[in-house]
Amino acid sequence: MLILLGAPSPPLLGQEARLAARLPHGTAVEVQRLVDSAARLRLPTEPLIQKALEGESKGADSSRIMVAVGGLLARMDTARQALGNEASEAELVAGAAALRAGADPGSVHTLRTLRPNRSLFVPLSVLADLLSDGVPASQVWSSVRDMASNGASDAQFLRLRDRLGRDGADRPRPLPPAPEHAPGEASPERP
Amino acid sequence: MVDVDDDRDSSPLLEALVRELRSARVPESRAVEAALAGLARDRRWRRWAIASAVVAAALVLGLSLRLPGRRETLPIRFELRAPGSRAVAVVGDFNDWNPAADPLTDLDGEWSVTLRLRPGRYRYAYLLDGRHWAPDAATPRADNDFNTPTSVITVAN
Repeated sequence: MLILLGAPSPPLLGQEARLAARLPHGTAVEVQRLVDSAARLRLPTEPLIQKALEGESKGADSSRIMVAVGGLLARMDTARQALGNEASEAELVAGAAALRAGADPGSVHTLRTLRPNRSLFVPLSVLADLLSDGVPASQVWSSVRDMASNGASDAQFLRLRDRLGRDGADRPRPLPPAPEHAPGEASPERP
Repeated sequence: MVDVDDDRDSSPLLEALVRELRSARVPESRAVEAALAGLARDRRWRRWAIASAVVAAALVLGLSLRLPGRRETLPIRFELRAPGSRAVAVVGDFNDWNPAADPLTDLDGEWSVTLRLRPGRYRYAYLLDGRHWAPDAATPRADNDFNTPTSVITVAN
């Protein structure tokens, strides 16, 4: 008896009960269409459903929900083009988050070439988190790229995020504001 | 016919003979014998098939549990200091954004709950008193699609 482990499940087309139960009918229908499109494209559907439920929970209007869900679907598709058809759901979600935070598809693809046989879920999550935190993109990218090429572990990537993140010790601090001076006086040198 | 249960006329030999006849197997036809043999084989086959299915199921279950991240959940503690709140819930991708799913417990203004989550990336926020959304100061901020503060947590093995 042949057992197929990890075989992709067939696309689920039809009505997602959670959407019908929580969203206005018209919105549920439109979101369901996006979910069905994702299923046909073999893209993850659960993140789209969660995005719609998040919008409903936060009282967003239908158009905003549709923009959010459609945007996520497009980014997951772009992430798959960058990561390859074998990318896992976790990698696609993290990749979409990195793109949303400002990473470019070329950088995401480069990570795949640097770490071809290991999951990129954590490196992409760290990339997304640091970019979202406002760490300069050049610093984030050079750190993540170098760690990937040097075979860094997932734990090391997470420590990088802790170091450079919002409250991290190595986070670049903004320059203090220049002191005010009276009109006509030369402004002092910024430290 | 002699009634051996009638003690008046029975003899030891007769009693022994009757006992022998009563204990003897009733001869069965060849067809019945073949059917009974087939049933025995069928039962053996059925036992073998059931045992094989149990072994195969155990093998699949064992392999699925060993596959990284497939079934393992990790305890994740959510904490928020909100001394002025009457109710705090954590709401996110792990509970269908259901404000009623995971309330936090208050201990002198320190609210907390521990959830078991599978590896993955989860957007979430705290909902205070059913009205105010608050981010988690301990985790990165997530992208803001709905104009409310949202946090993200990466759960990894």
